[in-house]
Amino acid sequence: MARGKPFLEILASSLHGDYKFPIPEFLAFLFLLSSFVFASFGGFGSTGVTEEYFVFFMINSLMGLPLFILVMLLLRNITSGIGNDLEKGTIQTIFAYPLRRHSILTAKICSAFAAAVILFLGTQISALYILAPDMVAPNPSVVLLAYVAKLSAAIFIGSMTLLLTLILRRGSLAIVIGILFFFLFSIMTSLVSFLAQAISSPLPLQLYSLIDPSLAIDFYYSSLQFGVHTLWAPSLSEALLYMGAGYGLTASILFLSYFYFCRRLNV
Amino acid sequence: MNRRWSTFMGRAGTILMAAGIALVMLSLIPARTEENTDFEGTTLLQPKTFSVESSFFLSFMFDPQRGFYVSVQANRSVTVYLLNMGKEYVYEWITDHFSENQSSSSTANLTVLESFLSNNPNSVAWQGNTIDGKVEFQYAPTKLMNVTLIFSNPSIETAKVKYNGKLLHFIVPSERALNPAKFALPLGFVLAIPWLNSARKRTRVGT
Repeated sequence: MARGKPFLEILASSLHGDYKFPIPEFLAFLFLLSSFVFASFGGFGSTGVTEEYFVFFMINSLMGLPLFILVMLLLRNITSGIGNDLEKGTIQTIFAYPLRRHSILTAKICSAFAAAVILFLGTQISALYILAPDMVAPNPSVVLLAYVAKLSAAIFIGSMTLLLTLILRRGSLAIVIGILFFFLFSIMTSLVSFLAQAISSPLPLQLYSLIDPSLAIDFYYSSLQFGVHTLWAPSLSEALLYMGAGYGLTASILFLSYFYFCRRLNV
Repeated sequence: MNRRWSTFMGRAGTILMAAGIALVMLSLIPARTEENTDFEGTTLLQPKTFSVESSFFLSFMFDPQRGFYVSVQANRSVTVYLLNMGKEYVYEWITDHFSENQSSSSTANLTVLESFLSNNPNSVAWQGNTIDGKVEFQYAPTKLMNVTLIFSNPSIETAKVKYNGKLLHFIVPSERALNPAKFALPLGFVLAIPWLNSARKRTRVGT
């Protein structure tokens, strides 16, 4: 049997389990509807605002609820997919495939993460293009930067939940911890901003940006629009470094998950 | 077709259909009028002249969710131009290219406008004529922009122009949501047919 075949077999069966009809259809519907309904671009009056900043502002506004739905979907896919396989013992059947363990985990991660992110990005970029084609088309770098930064926290939470699911071998507890992580992240953004203002130092913002680089990108665009008089005005290269650090952290958690799945998981 | 491919294409089709339905639903939501943003005005246009309207609300910055409605009535055939730039730029251009008495007034000779439009061909966001004495339009920008409303009187008689309007808030402009839905729904349906057909057959065998 060709090596690709069992991989595709597991990927297809995971996709079938994660995205039963009509879950992705309903999600596409919800993603699009919530993107438009909750978007709000008001408040600029007649003041000058740069196109770059407005595109970034628009993306932030469009992805509010859809990002929440995406995180919940990631958590559900991980905990009910891999978590259930571990809990019910079906992972033993999967291990019988002529495939290395890391390929099995890759297939599971592709199903849980990639398909959900593609669905999310597909609807988001379509919504952006429908609303403001003349602003989105000339600013692809802003769109790319904003989404890569904003997705880092979601993927980080997903990776943490994956590791926890593998260690606990139970999806139910891992999903609760994953949801708590998500709310903690939402609170932390406001908390570190307040703290930074209170001590008049950007240090809390910089430290937190290592985990959630979207904060660094937020401040980068804010400083472009409002000048360097904001509390923290990172340059583009600095913001990209934070993004690299954020994704590096996620990659290291994924590496730990692979290590645990391949070497430590006894079933 | 391979069953796996048929399932993949079919599911992509049903997702496209779901997105299409969402867009159709969004297109049915009408624009909301922003409170206390009604504006109106009257202008007397001498033959072969144009005027730049200066309503307070039209000096706002418009974005893809904030547009406006304008209705223009005139006793002669009047051309209405909506420019995708602020009136300051229009005045500045006229000042740079024409004499002081042409640029200082809010109404000026039509040749000035013709010259401006030929030098700024991409500046017209919308254009219309007062057919049967009236023209009305709703505008939703596709980018962040200032606008300028211009009335021009190409006839050899004086025209009296009355206009009124209001600012609108869109969730998404109807036409812009409907256009992609027109493609997504039939394309999704075509892609989904083989999968739906095989699903139906499987259900029949199952029963």
